[in-house]
Amino acid sequence: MNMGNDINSARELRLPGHLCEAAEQLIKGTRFKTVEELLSFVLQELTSRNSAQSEAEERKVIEERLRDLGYL
Amino acid sequence: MSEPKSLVLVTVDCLRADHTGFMGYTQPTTPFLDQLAAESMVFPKAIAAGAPTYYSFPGILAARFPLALGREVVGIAPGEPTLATVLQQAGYRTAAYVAANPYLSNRFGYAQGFEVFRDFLSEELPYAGEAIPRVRTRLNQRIAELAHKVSVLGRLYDDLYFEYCQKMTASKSESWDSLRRFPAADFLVDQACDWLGSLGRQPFFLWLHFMDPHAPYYPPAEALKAMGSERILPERGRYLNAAWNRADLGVERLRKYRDEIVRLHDSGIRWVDTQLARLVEVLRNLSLWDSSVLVLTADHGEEFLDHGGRFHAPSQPYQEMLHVPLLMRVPGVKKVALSDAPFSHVHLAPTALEAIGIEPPQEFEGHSYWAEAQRGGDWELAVSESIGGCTNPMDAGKRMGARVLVAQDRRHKLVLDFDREQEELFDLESDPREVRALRPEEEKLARARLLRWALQHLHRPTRGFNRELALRARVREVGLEWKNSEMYSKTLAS
Repeated sequence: MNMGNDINSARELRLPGHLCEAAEQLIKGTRFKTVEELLSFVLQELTSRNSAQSEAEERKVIEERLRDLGYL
Repeated sequence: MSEPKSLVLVTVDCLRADHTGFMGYTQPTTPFLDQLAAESMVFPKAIAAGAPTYYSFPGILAARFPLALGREVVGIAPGEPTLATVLQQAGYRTAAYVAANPYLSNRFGYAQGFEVFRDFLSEELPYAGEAIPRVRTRLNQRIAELAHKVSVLGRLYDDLYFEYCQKMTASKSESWDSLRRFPAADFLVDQACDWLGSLGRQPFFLWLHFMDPHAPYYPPAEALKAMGSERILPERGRYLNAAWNRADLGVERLRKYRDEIVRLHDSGIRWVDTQLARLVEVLRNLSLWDSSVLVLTADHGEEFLDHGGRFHAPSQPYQEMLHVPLLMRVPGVKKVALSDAPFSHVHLAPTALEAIGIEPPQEFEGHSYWAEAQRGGDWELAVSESIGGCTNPMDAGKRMGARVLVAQDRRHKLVLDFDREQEELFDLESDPREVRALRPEEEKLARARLLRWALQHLHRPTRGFNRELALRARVREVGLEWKNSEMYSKTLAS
């Protein structure tokens, strides 16, 4: 399964052996062929959404309104 | 601090403040609570931290604003301190009986801290629910398409098809109990009373969440009778609920159903009131009442076309949605008149904890106003927030929409809708129904004060503790969102 990762920029991670074994059991019969693929999926899910940008934009809107009113 | 007391937290879904007698409603929805209010602290303007349920409850149980962990997170984060976890750690027995609201389930972290947590979402219950077939035949679909090419014909078709569906699915044997979609208050109170009866002298925390006033509105016949609405029969109730739910009707056409719908909703409130009387009677009989604090509030209100809407959409943060009843009955504490300034739900948990003699955790965003409440002191203003377009928090995409932020003090209320790019300022003294937003040149000082408060709310520092909670919650949601995720589609396609 191609997870869309750039293999040239790949980094090595060290995980406890028992966790890798448990993950290998977990992915049996699924389309995840390796623990790396599973981990990549989970990390992509975790990093795919971030509300920080929206919050910065909302702060900017309020600051502009206060400036319009002459209070900032 | 004196000896710890027990705590009973009652939350009622969809109960707006102005539909309770002790907050001035003229219909007899809450005769028992009105009596109880006479010996309780009644907060004149309690404000939900967000609406609907999924944006309100982090404020009630975890004393934090709903978007404090980022809009990616819905519910209580794994390991987040709540009323239940704090009291369990303090040695309390804990139980929750939640009337089948999926957003208050274990999957959103609400079971944490409860030794007994019943949400009745997947159990056999003494109510049957309702299944109305909504599948149109191909012929019907074709007729609908043709009819909708001319607007008058389209409307006529929709009306005829609606009436046809109602007739086809009507059953003479329908009862209010068979139509109801969630367990009624009597069922929950029965369960809670059994649990209370099994306790010894250990202090306890009991949380009850009632759904009786929630749509679809199918109150028990006994409650309808108590409200003088027994002439509405179950088949009419089903028709009314179906009509009220029609997406194709505008406000003017919906208005003809409004009064009867409100009667059904009010009867649901009356049923909660009746069952709370029974709960308190049991607490008295078990000699627990004199050592128990009872807090009653609602997660949010309900709209009956007040601003053109129905139910409780997160994009409609008007007072019918945010202003909720809040009473706190504390044995041995003298009743005083409380400040009529807005009291945010985020302060409820720490205030209730201090009232029972337990120190609130530092991680709570809200803080205790117990001292002020006892001496009739003041508080200042309230902030509420939600994602306006998020009508389904199971859909991660919708959760990431723009915020609706509300800041209100005793007199003014500012609504910032970042999705509609709209700013409304209301003078609640001269316009309590929020009918006319002030013009931009009016009340500039009040506008600037509330804008500053809104900015301060968005600028409050993100604590490391919150970042960790957010991460934990998002790890939980990777599993929950599996089927909705982009990666899932890619995975299956590969």
